[in-house]
Amino acid sequence: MNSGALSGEERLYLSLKGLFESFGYSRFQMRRFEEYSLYSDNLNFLRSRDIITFGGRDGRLLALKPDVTLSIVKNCKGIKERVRKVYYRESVYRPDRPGGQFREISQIGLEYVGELDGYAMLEVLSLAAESLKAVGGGYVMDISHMGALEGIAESCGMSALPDEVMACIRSRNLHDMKNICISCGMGEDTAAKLRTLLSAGGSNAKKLTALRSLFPSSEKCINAADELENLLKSLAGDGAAFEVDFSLINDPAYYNGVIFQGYIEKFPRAVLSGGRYDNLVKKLGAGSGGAGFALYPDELDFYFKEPSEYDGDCLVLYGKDTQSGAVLRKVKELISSGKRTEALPFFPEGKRFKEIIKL
Amino acid sequence: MLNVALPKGRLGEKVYKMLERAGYSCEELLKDTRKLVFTDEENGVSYFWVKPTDVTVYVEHGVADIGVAGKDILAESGADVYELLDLNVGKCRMCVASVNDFREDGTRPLRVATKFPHVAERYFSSRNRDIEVIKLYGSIELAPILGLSDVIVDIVETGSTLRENNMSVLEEIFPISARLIANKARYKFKRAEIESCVERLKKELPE
Repeated sequence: MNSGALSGEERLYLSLKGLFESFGYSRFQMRRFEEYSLYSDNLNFLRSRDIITFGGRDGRLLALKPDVTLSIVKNCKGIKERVRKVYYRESVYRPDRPGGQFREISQIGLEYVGELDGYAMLEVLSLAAESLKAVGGGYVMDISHMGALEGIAESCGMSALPDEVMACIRSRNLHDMKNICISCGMGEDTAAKLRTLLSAGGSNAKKLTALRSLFPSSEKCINAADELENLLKSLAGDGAAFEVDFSLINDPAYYNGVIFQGYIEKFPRAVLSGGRYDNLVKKLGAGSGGAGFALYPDELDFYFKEPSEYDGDCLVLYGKDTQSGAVLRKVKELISSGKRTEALPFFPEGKRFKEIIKL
Repeated sequence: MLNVALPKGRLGEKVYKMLERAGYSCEELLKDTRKLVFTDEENGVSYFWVKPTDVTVYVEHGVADIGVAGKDILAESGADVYELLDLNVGKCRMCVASVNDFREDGTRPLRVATKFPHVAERYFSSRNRDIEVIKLYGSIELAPILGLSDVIVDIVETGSTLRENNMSVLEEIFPISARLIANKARYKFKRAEIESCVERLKKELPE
């Protein structure tokens, strides 16, 4: 097969498929729709609350799937294996951004569901880094820990940080932090600590030290820093791509441990995101833990593909009297020499070819 | 090279003056020219003027590394960007206002005329108040005067337009000022450049 004929997304999928299978993951295929209740019960897990729904013939409300992880975790309910390792290439249906139009968005990813230990998390992180590397160009993987946020909330006597504070953290908005923390009843002291934590620069070690020293009495913060430190150390070479960033947050109702988001140099948004979602797995009764990530290769071609000057290498222009067999032989000969060839009895309007052969 | 999206108009020009003082000058920028992109290789900066509401779009799509947008536009667009600095200029307030003798009828949804439907919906839903949004593109104050709406949600600077039309502020939703925003992915790869710009701008902020 001529690999040049494949789109960037197809080439990426083939390379990731090999990678995932070599680590023992098997392909998971699913239907395009699920019962709507799966999503309505877990709205906060979804990137968007806009879902395309339709009625089934038996009266059940169905939805074109806006997410893959929920379906996989639901499918793991009641399985006999202690762990399930799957990868997928699926389309999801949701607006690409708030207020945007519905789109079919392609997604490649993997999930590790069941009994997760330190190695399992390390494997998922390493494969995420490999996947990001496979996209091409410079890359950075932001990494954080939901335990840090839980610890900070607990140190203020709250079960979770208020949405307004989360929004401030997510947008690195340090200037409004004080007023927002005070209006949410969190006090100036916490605002100052959050500002220091988010503005901490330098190495990952320095950022983890900042977390430990700012919240020394929070067991969750200390454990989060320790887990991140151990994972980054164990990732060895792959660890260089990871950057601790506490502005990276996700919904605490589903995510509980390490979370990460990958960026590549040419793409303006995160192209990969994932994390540990034990809370979701437990909620759906599918075991004790889960972790995974998804890569969004949809728009990569727009940013990566160099526009081609030509529509093809060769145009074989044949006349009315030319023998069809001779045309086919010529076309095959050119194709076998690696040239993209088209045969037509006329010159196609608006197209450009490197070479024109008249028969 | 830092790519900067500036909002056309007085606010953009004011912020450019701050950037100029911070060492990011670009001689041609304020000249009367038909050029759209202005680059100063020496200072490592490239500017382009865009409609104020489009700044978040240029930054979110990574065409601009950083940009300047009002808190009103950020709140309405919900753009997924970093908000790195309050520039302390373009100060005003997002408010609910109406005619002076307005009395709310709680038995029906409140009719709200606004250029900021998302802001209005979020604000009233946080108060469990059912509203009907009427999206307008200008002259918002006219709506309650002519009976198109009960109230408006709009930007109030000095309040003189409201006063001249026998209207007043009922509630303040949030204060507004210009913010320096950055694309999240570009921030990862140009962090030193962007952080240096933020630090230099901090020294130029008005009191």
